[in-house]
Amino acid sequence: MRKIFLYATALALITATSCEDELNKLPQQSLSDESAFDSKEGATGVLIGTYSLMQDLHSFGSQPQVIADYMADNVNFMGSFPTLQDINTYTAVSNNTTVAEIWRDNYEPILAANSVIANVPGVADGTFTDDERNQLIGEAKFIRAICYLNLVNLFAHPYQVNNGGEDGVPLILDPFDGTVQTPPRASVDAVHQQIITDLTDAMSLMDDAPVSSGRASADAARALRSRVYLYREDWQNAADDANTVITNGNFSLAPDYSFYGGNAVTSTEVVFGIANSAIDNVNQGDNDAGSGSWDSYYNGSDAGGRGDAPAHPDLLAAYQSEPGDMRGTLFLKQVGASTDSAMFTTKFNDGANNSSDAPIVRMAEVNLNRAEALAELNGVNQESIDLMNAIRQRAGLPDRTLGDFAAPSDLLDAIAAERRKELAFEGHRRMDLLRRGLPLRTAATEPPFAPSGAGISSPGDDKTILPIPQRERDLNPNLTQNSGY
Amino acid sequence: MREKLLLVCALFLVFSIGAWAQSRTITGKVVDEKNQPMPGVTVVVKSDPAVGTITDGDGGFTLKVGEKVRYLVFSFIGYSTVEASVDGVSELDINMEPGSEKLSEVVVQAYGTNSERKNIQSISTIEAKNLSDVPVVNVQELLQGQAAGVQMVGASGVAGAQQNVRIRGVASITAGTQPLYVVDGVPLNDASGIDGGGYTSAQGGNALNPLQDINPQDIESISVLKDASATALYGSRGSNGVVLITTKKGARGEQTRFNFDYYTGVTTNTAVLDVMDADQFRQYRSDFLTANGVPTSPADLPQGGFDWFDAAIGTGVTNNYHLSARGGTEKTAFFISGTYFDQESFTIGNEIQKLNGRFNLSHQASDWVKFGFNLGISNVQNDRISVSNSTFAPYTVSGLQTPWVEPRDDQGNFVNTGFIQNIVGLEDLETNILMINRTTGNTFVELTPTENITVRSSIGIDRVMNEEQYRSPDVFSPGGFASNSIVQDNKWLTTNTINYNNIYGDHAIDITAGQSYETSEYRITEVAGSGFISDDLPTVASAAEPTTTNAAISEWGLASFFGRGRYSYKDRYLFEASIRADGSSRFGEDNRYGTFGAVSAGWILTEEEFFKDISYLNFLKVSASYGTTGNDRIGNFASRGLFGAGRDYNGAPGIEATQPANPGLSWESTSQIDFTVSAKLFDSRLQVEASYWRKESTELLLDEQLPTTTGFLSRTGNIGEMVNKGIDLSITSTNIQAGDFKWVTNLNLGTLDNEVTSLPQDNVDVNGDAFVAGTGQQRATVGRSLNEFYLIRYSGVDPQTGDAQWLDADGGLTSTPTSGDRKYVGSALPDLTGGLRNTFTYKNFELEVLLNFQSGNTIFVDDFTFMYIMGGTFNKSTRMLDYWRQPGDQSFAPALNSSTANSFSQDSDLMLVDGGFVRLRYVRLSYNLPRKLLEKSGFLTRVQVYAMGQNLATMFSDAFDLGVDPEVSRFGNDSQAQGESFFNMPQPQTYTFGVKIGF
Repeated sequence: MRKIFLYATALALITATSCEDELNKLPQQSLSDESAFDSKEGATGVLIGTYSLMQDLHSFGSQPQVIADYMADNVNFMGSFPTLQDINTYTAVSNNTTVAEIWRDNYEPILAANSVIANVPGVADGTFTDDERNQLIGEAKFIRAICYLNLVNLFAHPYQVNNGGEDGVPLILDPFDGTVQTPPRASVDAVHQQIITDLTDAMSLMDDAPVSSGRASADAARALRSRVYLYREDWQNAADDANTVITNGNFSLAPDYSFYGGNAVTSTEVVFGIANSAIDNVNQGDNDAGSGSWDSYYNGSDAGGRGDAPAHPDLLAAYQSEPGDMRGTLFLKQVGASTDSAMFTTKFNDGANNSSDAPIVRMAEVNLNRAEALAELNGVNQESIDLMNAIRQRAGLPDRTLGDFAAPSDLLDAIAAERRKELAFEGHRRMDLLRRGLPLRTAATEPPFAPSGAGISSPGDDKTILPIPQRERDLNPNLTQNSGY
Repeated sequence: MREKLLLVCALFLVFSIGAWAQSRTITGKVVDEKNQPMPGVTVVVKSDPAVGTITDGDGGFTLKVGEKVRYLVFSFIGYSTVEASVDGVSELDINMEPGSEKLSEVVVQAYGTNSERKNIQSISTIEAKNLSDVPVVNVQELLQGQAAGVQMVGASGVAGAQQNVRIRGVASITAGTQPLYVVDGVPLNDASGIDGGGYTSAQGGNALNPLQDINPQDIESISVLKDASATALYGSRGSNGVVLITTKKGARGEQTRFNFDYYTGVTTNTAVLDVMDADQFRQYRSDFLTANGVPTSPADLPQGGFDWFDAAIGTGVTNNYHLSARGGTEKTAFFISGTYFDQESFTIGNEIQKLNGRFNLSHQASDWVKFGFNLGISNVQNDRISVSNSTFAPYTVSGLQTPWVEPRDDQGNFVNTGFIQNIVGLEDLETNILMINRTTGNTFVELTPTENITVRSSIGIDRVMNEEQYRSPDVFSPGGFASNSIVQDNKWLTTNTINYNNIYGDHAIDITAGQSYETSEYRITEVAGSGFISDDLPTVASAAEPTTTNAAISEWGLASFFGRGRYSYKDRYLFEASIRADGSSRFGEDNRYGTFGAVSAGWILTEEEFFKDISYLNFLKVSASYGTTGNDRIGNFASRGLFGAGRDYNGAPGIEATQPANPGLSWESTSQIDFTVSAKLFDSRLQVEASYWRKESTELLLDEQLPTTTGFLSRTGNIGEMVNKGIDLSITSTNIQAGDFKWVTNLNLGTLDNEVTSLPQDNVDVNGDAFVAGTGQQRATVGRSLNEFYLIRYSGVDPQTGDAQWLDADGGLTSTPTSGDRKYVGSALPDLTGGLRNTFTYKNFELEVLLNFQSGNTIFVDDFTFMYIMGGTFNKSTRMLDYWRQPGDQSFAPALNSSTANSFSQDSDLMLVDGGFVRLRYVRLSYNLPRKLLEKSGFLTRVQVYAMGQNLATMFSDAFDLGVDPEVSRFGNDSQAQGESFFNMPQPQTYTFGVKIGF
């Protein structure tokens, strides 16, 4: 009996002593703050994770870009989701959850980029060369720039209103160190200057061509800077940057439109794009796609999409204005969210898996940037017409000649029309109208599904820009609200 | 400390070699008030209730007991329990009297038991009778309206959904508010440390019930531990209260008894929302378009029509079969049971089938060695549906689907209806199955080297395995989509305790010391794919494009040392102290251990000479306690700065900052003070227990909201403070006891006053008070409750202009309110909850009526922010037909072309309704076959037939009148998001018929 007791006691003792070590449990799916930046691989992983953040619906996963097309006259938005519809009807309020997500999901990659920029120089890894470090920092600066551009376009009036003196968005350039900062909004001009600085740095840090498709390069930074200059009416710089990209030859116009879809980023057409695949729809952390993505908005419900964003009749009419425009054939009749049939673009055609790449900066835009800038600088000129003709030829349309344009404004209008037809559904339309002083919608271009916008959508009008999310203003009292919210 | 403890333990063992008791036999007979023999009476040894028997057909019994046994206890349902001395006696004749009075019932506590009489912890015990009588699916339902200070919100009418239980308010803001559930000494897994986890995909907001694997019919008793003296022995997990579940056991020497229970019921919904039909919608829509400059007639709009609610909601059927056997030989006692439960809910495509088995066994190997096991196994098959915030959820779709949309095309094939999906087709063609296999149990060895010392060692497990299978057909996901995930959560724990108790004259002591280690490993494996040749290929294996492969593991561990001492003097002055030290892997190494403890004291006044003269006062006890407990329910790795892996971009692996570091993170701690008075008056016909309690929670684990310009939404910190206080009151009164008729009323209620007392100052509202935002509609603000709705105030439609009007911050009317006009307009927390049960007994008939109620809270009905949208094609509330047409109209909605038509449906107190209600929870009528009849059969001991109706009526509920069930929990038990509805499935109304047969 006594023996049994001693055995039992010994047993209890053993179970008790083995406990202490058992309290050291480590996470198995995450790295700690310290170990993320202790090697080249970790630092590269953070940059790749930053690209992954940009796949998010609310940054470059289509939401801001779809909004840019439907707040204007390219998309007849018929989705029923209230936060999206409110933006469509110019009735959004400051606690619109979609708007809050757009804000958040663009700052997330910005903060991730900040941590790459701040931490990569100090990574203690002998195999990590300076060139490799510069490449990572350059890509991070590009990412930071394009995210700020996304934000300032949506949350602030264009540069043309008050010469960039309007409130932009707060500039955060350092990683989060645990102390909450509450900066005020920087002016639109200041945000633009920061974007230009980052892109300029990025050009000097990276090679002209990308390390792999879907990644940023010096040419991508140049092409994006050309867009920023264009938005600021800095015509000479816009023309020069575009020209450098064209002459560098790393990218060129694709022969036809087959580059759209799941491999768009591998095309020479796409200077910078976000590569998507079927596995990206699965919720990886915050990267929510699933019920919303390029493929989802731009496909009918019979093709696996939401059927929310068919073409606006005014856009379809624009393609009809010249017979034989092949871009007018990039449509399919599908089931819309509130109609049995509507015309949906085929630029994003994988409603089942949402794997279409997002072309964010492509050569057609670069050509048109230069064409427009030169027309602004030099009036009617042959080079602008040639640049535009290259795009028209691909669309199966006849060349234009100097004689077609009586005044510079005729040429500018033609370039703008070409830009609309070429870049439709890629998120350019809203800024292209506003920066040229045009209303997003007129009585003639109000969408049939939710007529609104005429008379209240000119540059500087209240609801042409999104509200600063109420939550952010609650947490950062230094953020001013946009007029009208 | 640990070494000392074990040394002490070893010393006890070595020196405690006692003389083992001889045994003797006691025989006797039990008769009722009419001197009729009573079969089926339970007879147990008071000091060892596991030794016992039941009386035979003639009321006779024979029981072998130890030499030192002094008392036997006789009990029978509906009769007063009798305690009889067997000192120097070998034959006993017992007379039993009808009554509900209980003498020294046993109260189950943390790591032990105590007599009800001497218990000075605040514990609500749900009696076995009330457990076995009510056919419920989930254990939590048994708590509803039955225990003072326990609030239970029925999650929804979804089969298998989680219930929201709160014991004495909420002691936490973010770290979980649900009590700790402990079954036969095994704390259940609840996946509390898994970020965004749980065991299944939420499918719109309702998590699964952690207790659905336990069969209510296998439960002997439920103890709800409420005050610190009761919960301190669960240390870092005690703050939200603890629910101890004890399953049924056999008794040694007891004749084998069988029980067969069967019930069947039909279920319908209670509340239902009123939406437009197709014709109404066409008319409304064409009026709307016309008013907004697009002349339209109903004929221009799509024709056809379909009643989606009618299709989604029907009548459900429930069947339950339960067979059990309990008994024992001289050395072995057992309880064994099997249950099959099948419930088709009232909602399309929702069904649950459960198979439960239980086997509890103990064996007395010798006078001082006992061992055994308790084992519960279950298999659940749940055909799930999405709920709440999902456009695949039947109830949500029924409310929002454009009513002219039909589920089938002209050929009769299901169609894809887009964003708001075709639920009829979904439920027919889609597979959405959850299978749960769970094994919970423990093995133990108990040594009693002397009568005063018990050493117990047990090893417990809780193994959960959930498998979810989902398959969406081609029509809803072109090409088809399938997913499969398996979640396992495997816990094991070891618990070792030693108890010493003795009586020295007027002094009685009882000391328990123990140690435990507990660890759980959570594993998830999931795959998904799309692109199938045919809908006939159900599994991921046939997919062309694999879209998900995931396998993840997360572990935690908890090492604990604890002790409790009780001392009583002259059986009337009672003292108790307990302490527990917990070390948790969830916290940084510097902060790993925390110590919790409690002290309490009680005084049984009726034992004093000066009280003996008060003849109507049978029993009076006052007690007080103070102690601290903790709450460790945060993520397993919440203190670490993390970069989440598995982020890929274009084939390359990436990591992403998912959590900012917080090295100082520790558990929440709650201190609680409790004063309790319990009394029995007028021959114990009136029993009252009242407690005042106050809980102060500090170092609350709080998701401090961050501006997203930090890259994060929030971070966890120990930053808040909150006070809960209230009164628990329980009254049982035998109103009438005359001849064969008896009427007993039981009232229990709890008040709750919750106030957030401190929050970080980073966010302050217009009054300068710090707050933490919960949802878009509610926030926790210092000086107010945890769930205070903060909304603009709706005023009504201006009869002259047809514009909707709200109040601005200063109370003036405006048609363009801004967020600056928001005010605090109500709390989601009820300040009074309770239940009232009346039981009427006449001869063999019994009628039981339970009402439960709550008041003082408000509900935000988010359904209405969609159903009040004036434009668009979502279906609308029929109230929207009452829109403004001409000056002078007193209308519900503004003019169709009003400038406020788009803003009418914005969040405001228009969607806020009073949350109070009184619910007729159940009415139960039962009939027990007379004993004489049973005796004639020769083998039957009990036959009861009953009929029952549940959720028969809902009264005094503004929400219910609008078609919304007042028991809402859109966000489950997220404590920062209470009292909100988004197409919450209403509670079921059930009619049940059942029979219970004992033989």
